[in-house]
Amino acid sequence: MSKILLVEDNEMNRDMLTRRLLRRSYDVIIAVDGRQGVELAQSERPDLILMDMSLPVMDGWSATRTIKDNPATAGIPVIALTAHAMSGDRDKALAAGCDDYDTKPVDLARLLQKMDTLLNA
Amino acid sequence: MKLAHKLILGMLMPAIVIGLVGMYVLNIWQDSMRTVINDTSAAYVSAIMAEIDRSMQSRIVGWKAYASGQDIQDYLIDANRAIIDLGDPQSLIDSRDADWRAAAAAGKTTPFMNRLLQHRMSRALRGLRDRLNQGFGQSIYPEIFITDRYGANVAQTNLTPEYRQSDESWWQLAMADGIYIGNVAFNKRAERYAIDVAFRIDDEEANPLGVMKVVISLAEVDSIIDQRSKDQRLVNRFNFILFSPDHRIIHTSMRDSDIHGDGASYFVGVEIPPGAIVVNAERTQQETGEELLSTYAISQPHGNLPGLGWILLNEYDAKDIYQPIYRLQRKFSLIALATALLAIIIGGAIAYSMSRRVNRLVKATRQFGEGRYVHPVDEKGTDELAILAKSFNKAGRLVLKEFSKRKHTEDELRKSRDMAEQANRAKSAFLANMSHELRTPMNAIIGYSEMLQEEAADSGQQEFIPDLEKINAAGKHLLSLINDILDLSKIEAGRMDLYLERFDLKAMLTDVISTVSPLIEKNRNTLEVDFADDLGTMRADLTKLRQALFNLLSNAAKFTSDGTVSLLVRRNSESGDDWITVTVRDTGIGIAPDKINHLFQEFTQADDSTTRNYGGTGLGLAITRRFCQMMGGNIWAESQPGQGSTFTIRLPAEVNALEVARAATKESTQSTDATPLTVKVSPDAQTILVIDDDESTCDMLRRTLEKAGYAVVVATSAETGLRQAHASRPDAITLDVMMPGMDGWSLLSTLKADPELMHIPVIMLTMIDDKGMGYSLGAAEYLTKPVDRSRLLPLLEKYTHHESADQVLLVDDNPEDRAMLCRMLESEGWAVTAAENGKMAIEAVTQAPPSVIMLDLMMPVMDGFEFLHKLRTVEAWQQIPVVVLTAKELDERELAELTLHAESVIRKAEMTPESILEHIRRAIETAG
Repeated sequence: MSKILLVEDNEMNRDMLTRRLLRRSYDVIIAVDGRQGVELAQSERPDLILMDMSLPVMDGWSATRTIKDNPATAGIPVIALTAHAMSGDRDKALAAGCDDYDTKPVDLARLLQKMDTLLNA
Repeated sequence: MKLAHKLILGMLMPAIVIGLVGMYVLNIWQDSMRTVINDTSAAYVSAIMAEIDRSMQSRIVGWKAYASGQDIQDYLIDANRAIIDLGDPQSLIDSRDADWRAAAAAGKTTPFMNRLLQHRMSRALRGLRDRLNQGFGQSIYPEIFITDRYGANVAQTNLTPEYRQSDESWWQLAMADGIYIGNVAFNKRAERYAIDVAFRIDDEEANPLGVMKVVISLAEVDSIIDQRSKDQRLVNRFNFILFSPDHRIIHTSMRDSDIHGDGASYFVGVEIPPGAIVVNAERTQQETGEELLSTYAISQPHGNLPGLGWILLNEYDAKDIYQPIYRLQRKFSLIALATALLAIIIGGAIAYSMSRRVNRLVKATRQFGEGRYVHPVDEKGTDELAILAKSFNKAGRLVLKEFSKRKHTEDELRKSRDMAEQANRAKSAFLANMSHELRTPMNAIIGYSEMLQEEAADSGQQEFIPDLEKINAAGKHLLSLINDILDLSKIEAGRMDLYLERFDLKAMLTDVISTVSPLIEKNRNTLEVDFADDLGTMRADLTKLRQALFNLLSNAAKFTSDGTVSLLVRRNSESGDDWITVTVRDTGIGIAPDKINHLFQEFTQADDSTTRNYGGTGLGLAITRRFCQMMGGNIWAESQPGQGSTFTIRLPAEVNALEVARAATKESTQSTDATPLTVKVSPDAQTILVIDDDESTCDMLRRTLEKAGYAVVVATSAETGLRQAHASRPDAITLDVMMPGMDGWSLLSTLKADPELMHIPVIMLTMIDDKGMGYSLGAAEYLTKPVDRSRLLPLLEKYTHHESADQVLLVDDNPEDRAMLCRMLESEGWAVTAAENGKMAIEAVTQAPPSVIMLDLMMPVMDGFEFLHKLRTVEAWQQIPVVVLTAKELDERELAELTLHAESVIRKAEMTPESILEHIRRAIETAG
């Protein structure tokens, strides 16, 4: 059973994605800001992180960089989720160390496919 | 020469000319005055001489007339007869003379002497003499006596020392010539100078009867001179001197001078020609050094009487006599001096005033020329200078007014531009926020409706599913609407940027097809795909092209049911450039011809009913068209209602940033709904040297390479190529082999032997297929003609891409930023050193100066500005390029400082990894 860390500050998005992932039998843990995300990544060692970019306390880019800088967590794949649809955002996310990127609103089928790819890699 | 000097000179020149002419006139005048003075003097002195002559001559003539009287003749006839009667006259005279002289010497008288003295004639002569002397009041005639024809005394007023006179020269000369006028001699009896005058007395038959001698004293001459010397008509002082023919002084008006002496000194240097009446001489008196005018008048003969030989000299002190001339000279000099002074003063004053005014104008004009119109020029007066000053002031005021007006306008423009920019920024921020704010609830609507569908299906509540599907579809529609509007707004706001990248066309198409397939299949359509396997790569904005294709394909799928959607992609070459043509054809409902033109307008669909039946925002095609235009291409549609539609996109295979910008500018000047556009990718500044003798090949290569963003230098011979390689230091060289003169092989070996050029990769481009030769001589790559761009460009990219281990010093206090940038730079092959602040950065630079510095501005301890300042003060570090990366809003002063000290400034808000890398590459290239 894959353990997914969802870092998302918006309650509705969080709830929705959690429920849909749970329904698909993923183990989901939640972080509501970047710092918490970094901490949980360190303590829980999830198999994959879904990272919102616009986060309080520490934004998604910084959180990703911190996770990728830490050798203990650097191997965990990170999928960036952003509302910004510009290619600049994608590049920025990739530059921060994200392994993949998806836009919100989430197309669940597409996201699941990307998750699958990264989890099976 | 300054204006003032010219003016003074101009004023002085006439004064000098007038002065010269005046001096010339004065000279003439002086000469003529001198002549007049000399002539006057000559006339005066000669008149006095004539008076003396006349007085003497009248006396001589009078006595001659008396001597010729009958009484005297008769007396002499008797006397001559009496002496002959006494025997031999000579012996008688001898004996009588001996007695006479003895008696005279002893101071005695003989009876004969007494008889002679008391003789009638002697008494008559004495009586006449005494009467005449009495009449004159002095002894004019001291002595008169008469001799017979044998020279013996026959009558006398005074006792002579000798009886015989025939041995005297006066007697002999008088007998010979009829008259004798003797020299001046001192007469003891008269105690003054006198002359002896003797006449021969003849009878009617002109036989000589005897001689009468009269001694005439010069008393009358003296009195004439003395009287004239008192005459002061001419000058203050006269100095008359009468000289004998042998230049002895006879008389002088100078009482204190040495009279009767030798007067030779008065004639030194003076020549009196024979027959001269009067001679003027200017001479210097030897003792006193006085300048003198000496006028010599010479006694003249009159009638039968010869001249006396006397010379009357009048000496004037030149100072006195030429007084008028000197006075004139003085006056003239004074006037000339005064005139010159006046000319200098007036000229100087005018020149000073003029030059001061002109200088003011010059100064003002110069200042004006330097862009400073400070003070108006003084414009008093009515002359041309004042008019000039007035005109200048007027022009100045006008320009100033225009200038301030323009400045005001510029300020206004700047203000409104700033306001517009601010508004634009606000709009962008608003758009970004809106994008986030709108998508978040949409996210929830779409997500929850999908979730509910799943849950309804699980719990068997099928009746909710259609409604939930409707909510989901409406949400998706609303989201696409929002996305389209946001895209369009961004285009309108000029915030839509192009991200040019090179991608494989076929891969992109495959990706799009897989995305669009479900849509096509939805209306039971078939997708026909037609493109070659070797479409190659394209340089464009991948995302936008994908969006455009997706838009066209989804439209085709939407408006077609049970039909065919075709996708055709072609690469074709047109005037040296490659173009990509994408055609999307469907067999759907088609579009009426009159609607086609509105297709690409915003919020317009072919028909209002379309929206009702098919949905959509009506923005997709408008956005697609804008994307195509941004990339330097276009889109058009052909359609017949019921026959289906064909949409064609045509784009350059190599989207050129510069051309795009140019096209955008052109468009913005042509249409009002212009699309301002920023292009983030700048052409590579890397230089390729093309060496080929065939000009058309050169031309083709130049255009191809410039399209790809290279700077191109062309050489049509190996020799020029070598020179150009040295001059432009290209990043790569393409080289032909067959060339006249030095061939490509020789040049290749020359290039590879040159330590300065050997590192430059050389790509052989030739008809000759001899790769072995090329590689052995050091060529990097070998391509045969005709040139295949798709092979050449990747090769060039490979060789011009710096595989450098350039040292980058990263200065940023934010650890996350530092880590991110560090990884990014390292992944590009740079060696990165990091510093947390300016102070640490300085230490790092001191240890090892980097190739480039990437600098954050806001840092603790030492901020970026201070660091830059310190860096640039060290000469060795001045060339290190600095790329500033900042989140700070920069004010004008800060921006100016950065422009001066840094190569480029990137705002963190705008940065992308691409742009950062681009900036750093460029900075290193510029520095290198």
